[in-house]
Amino acid sequence: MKVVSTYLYQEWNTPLHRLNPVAKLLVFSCFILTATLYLDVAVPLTFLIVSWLMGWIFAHISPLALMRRLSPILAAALGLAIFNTLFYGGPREHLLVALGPIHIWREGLFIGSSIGLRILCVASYSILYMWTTDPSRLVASLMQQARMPYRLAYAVLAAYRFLPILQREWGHIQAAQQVRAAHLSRHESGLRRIVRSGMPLLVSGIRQAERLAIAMDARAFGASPRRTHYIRTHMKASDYAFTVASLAACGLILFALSELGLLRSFLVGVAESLAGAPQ
Amino acid sequence: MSQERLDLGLARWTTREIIVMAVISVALGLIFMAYSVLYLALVPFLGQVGIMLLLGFYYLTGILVPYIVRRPGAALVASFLAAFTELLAGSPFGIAAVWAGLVQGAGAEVVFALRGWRDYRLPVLMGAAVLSGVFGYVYEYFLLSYAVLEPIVQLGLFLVRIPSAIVLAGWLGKVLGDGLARTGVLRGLAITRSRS
Repeated sequence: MKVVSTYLYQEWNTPLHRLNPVAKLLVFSCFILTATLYLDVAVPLTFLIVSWLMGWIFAHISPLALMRRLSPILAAALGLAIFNTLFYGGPREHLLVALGPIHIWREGLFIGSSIGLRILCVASYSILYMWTTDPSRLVASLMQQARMPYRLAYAVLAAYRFLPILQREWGHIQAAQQVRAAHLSRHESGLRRIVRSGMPLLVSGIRQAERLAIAMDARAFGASPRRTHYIRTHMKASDYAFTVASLAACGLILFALSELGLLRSFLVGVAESLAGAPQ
Repeated sequence: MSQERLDLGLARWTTREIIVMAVISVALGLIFMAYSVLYLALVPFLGQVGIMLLLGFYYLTGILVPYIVRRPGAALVASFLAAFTELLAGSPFGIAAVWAGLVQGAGAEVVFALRGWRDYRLPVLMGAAVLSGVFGYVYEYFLLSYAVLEPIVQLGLFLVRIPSAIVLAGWLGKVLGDGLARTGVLRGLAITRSRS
């Protein structure tokens, strides 16, 4: 099974690619958090569209490409929307459907859709982030801007280097077990299968880790509290400008939505559902 | 300077411990992505509450790695690394997963800290897995607005994950750790030193 997708980082030279990775992570996390704090359909929908526009304008990624990549998550989002609609426990006034024990309320449908859209929103920003962020620059920036300890950062880099190696290893393990017809054994749950292939993967990974650690020790890794960097990342004026502009835009969107009467806060929703719950 | 102060005690780790932690976390990150395919496919059959029976597996990194290297911070860092792998490897929930990894790792770390980072017997591992689940629930409570659900469903989402965490993270972490120790690849790490 191929787990790591081929549609990862695309090395283009666009404003979103050049943006400082930590600044981008903060801005995207902020957008996701905002979409999470409101129970309206309008908020996650707006931020979903914002992610498409952002990819289009600042990274030359067509909204269609992003939507296509989102389609596998559609089922999960829909499932979550249905679940939240059916088991909605907040205040309710408008009954839409009553089929035996199943009651669908307009309020529930509304909030269910909001939560389903929210998941699409999370996915859209995550995908946009991966497509436009060079992992090496991300780690460099975590060290240099977010002050991550460099020994940890190098663990992350080593881990990243191991990804394709372990990926190949996983394929080899599957093939080896197929040769011995392990996949034909009947009484095996999905979990057992994962353990059966996972164990050799861990063993071979740990063996390689030992060799890598010896090589790093031989080059005096970690001997000095400070170190120099091959890839240098900076917070340039444009990075600050982008961050501030994005957060301002975020505020502006919320203001506009509230003027339009489309904003209902999460906290209000919680208070209402707590008040309306014990019936 | 500041880089030294922020070393989270990592300065005391050997290079081998750091790299072994990284590799196990990455491998588990990959396994989690394979697992997620199965997980999402089963949601329609088990329901959103029933699927919590399978959720505990995601807490495994924060148990297995501390069980092997036995260092302060291992649960938090390893759990973050596994989630970070998912981001790098292209999980559509990457950004949400990174924050979830930090929160769940912090939950396990609290339990190991309470035992002075010295006690790694099975009940402690299970306790760490349970607190991972509790912290994870709080995170999801906000991310997915559990507050709007019927109280009984909220309770179900919370309770059903507990046995899952105990078995799929606590117990499985011990079994995998002991299994790996038996293969001999962990020679010289804390897990093999403790069982003289």
